[in-house]
Amino acid sequence: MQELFLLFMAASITNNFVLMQFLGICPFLGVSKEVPTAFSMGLATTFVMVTSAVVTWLVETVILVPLGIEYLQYIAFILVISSFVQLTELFVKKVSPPLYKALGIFLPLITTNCAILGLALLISMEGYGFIQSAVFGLGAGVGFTIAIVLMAGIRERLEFADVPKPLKGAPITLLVAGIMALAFTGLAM
Amino acid sequence: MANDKIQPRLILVLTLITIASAIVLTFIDDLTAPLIAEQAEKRVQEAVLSVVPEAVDFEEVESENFELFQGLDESEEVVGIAVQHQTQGYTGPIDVMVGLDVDTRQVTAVEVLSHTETPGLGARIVEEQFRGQFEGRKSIEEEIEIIAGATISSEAVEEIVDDVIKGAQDFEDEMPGLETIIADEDDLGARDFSEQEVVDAEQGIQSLAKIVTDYSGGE
Amino acid sequence: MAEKNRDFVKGLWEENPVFVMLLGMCPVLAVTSTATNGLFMGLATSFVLFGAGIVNSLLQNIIPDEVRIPSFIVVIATFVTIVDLVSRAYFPGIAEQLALFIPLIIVNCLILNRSEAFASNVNVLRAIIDALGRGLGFTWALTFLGGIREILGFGTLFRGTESVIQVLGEWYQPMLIAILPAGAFITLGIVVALFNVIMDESFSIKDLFGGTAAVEKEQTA
Repeated sequence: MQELFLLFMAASITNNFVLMQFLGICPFLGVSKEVPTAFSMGLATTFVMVTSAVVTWLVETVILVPLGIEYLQYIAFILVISSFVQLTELFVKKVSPPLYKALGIFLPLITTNCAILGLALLISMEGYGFIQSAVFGLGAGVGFTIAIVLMAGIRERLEFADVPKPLKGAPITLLVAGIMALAFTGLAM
Repeated sequence: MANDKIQPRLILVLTLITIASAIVLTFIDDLTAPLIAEQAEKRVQEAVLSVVPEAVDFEEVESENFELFQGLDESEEVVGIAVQHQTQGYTGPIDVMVGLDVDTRQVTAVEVLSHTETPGLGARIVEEQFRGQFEGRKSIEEEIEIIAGATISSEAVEEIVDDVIKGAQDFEDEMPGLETIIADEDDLGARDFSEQEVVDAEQGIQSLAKIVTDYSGGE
Repeated sequence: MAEKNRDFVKGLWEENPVFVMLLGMCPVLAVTSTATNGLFMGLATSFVLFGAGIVNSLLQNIIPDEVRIPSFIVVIATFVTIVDLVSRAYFPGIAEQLALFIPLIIVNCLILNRSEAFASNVNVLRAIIDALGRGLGFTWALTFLGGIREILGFGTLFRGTESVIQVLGEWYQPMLIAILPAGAFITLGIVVALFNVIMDESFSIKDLFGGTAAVEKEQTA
């Protein structure tokens, strides 16, 4: 139990996917203008992370390893993830239209979020078991949500700041992310 | 997708592309797999020879808990033990090769085989300044200097070296070539006994022996 | 001919994938702690860009629109697996350092963007030239960032290779932050800001390459 808790904390805080491992940078920079959207993006990503962590674990353990075709891992993972994201989209649309309204537009973006494929590959590299994979996926998702919501909070305030012209847009966001990363590095020490 | 009816052509094209890709990759994998295995072997070979400085050759020894190698010199004599062992570091597994002297069981050298620690912090475990601290030790009770900002990575390496030193006891059973070389007194060196403990133990044995002789004499 | 030249130059400078278009940010930040890693990552990405560009351009009439993206991803993943296997077989040291980020080339938005928006709409020759330009643009950007961070953080250039250069002497106290994750964000932020300044005011550089449409669009954006 304690081990699972540590795994969760490592994935979400001390070894934060976004700020320490640079996974999921595109949505982190792109969808972090407002807190509510950032939060929805975080939720959608967390959901896909947990489910795809479990599904890719199954694909690896049940198909790839027994057949000795680990070299097809990348293709298998990316296909599983992208079809799974589509299935999720259809499923959410049928079951809960309000949820679909909130998350729907983010779901297709998630396929190319490198944090998802990165998560699946990390799980395979570390050799985690089924439960561990799910917990690790949840931790990664929570970590992603924390990072993107914090960033959105800062950027909402930056709107009112007088940022020098060349720094407007991406550069100032990157500098803020740098300071956040520094804080997270401090937590890790 | 507009009319929700999937044409067979879509499935056919995607399947064909995937099959073509699998064929290409099977071919490339066949080409590269032996090379990748060879690289890994070369890595281990270099590490063994570097942690056992006098060795020119080595052989692997069956062992339960460790990956164990004995370094051999030109006359096929065992000149050192190399142990490959890994543990969890900060961001991933750290794989380390530890060299031990046959006679004294002192650490001869430590080599990091692979790690994924943070550059500039944990990654500094590969630096001579850190690895060098283990040389000549029989225990790690004396504090080693930890890399600033990389406590977990440093302690992981420390733990590996400690495990190897403690496990050294078991190697004798697993390494038939060693038995003749390790004289009985040297066994004490492998553990972490202080001089006082050795003296105490010897006194204890003597008094025990005295009791035994007295007792059997009395009979 | 002029059009092809422009395809090539665009990727190098005015539509540089890293400094202007901000594509493929994960590897840009993650592997640029040294110039060596940056260069290798750039070349690996270029190879995939090149291979996938050719194949996806050739297949443009065969692949139905509905399965374009999945087909492209499979083609890209195939080339990435090739890069991964080959680099593990011939450059094990560097492959180990880049570890996760070689397979993650699959989801590098730069490659999908080029396949989807360019290679699948033009002939193979233009796809090749475009891939070369973007690939080189990505490679120099990563090597440049890696170089800055390596000089500040270690005082060297191209560590881990035989041709390592000691740029700053023994007196230099390495700046740890440059190679930490925070340093990645901050260095890139400063370089992108500098790029904005250059693009904005230095007309001489823009004039050299002709055409300012992309730049103007960038400014108004």
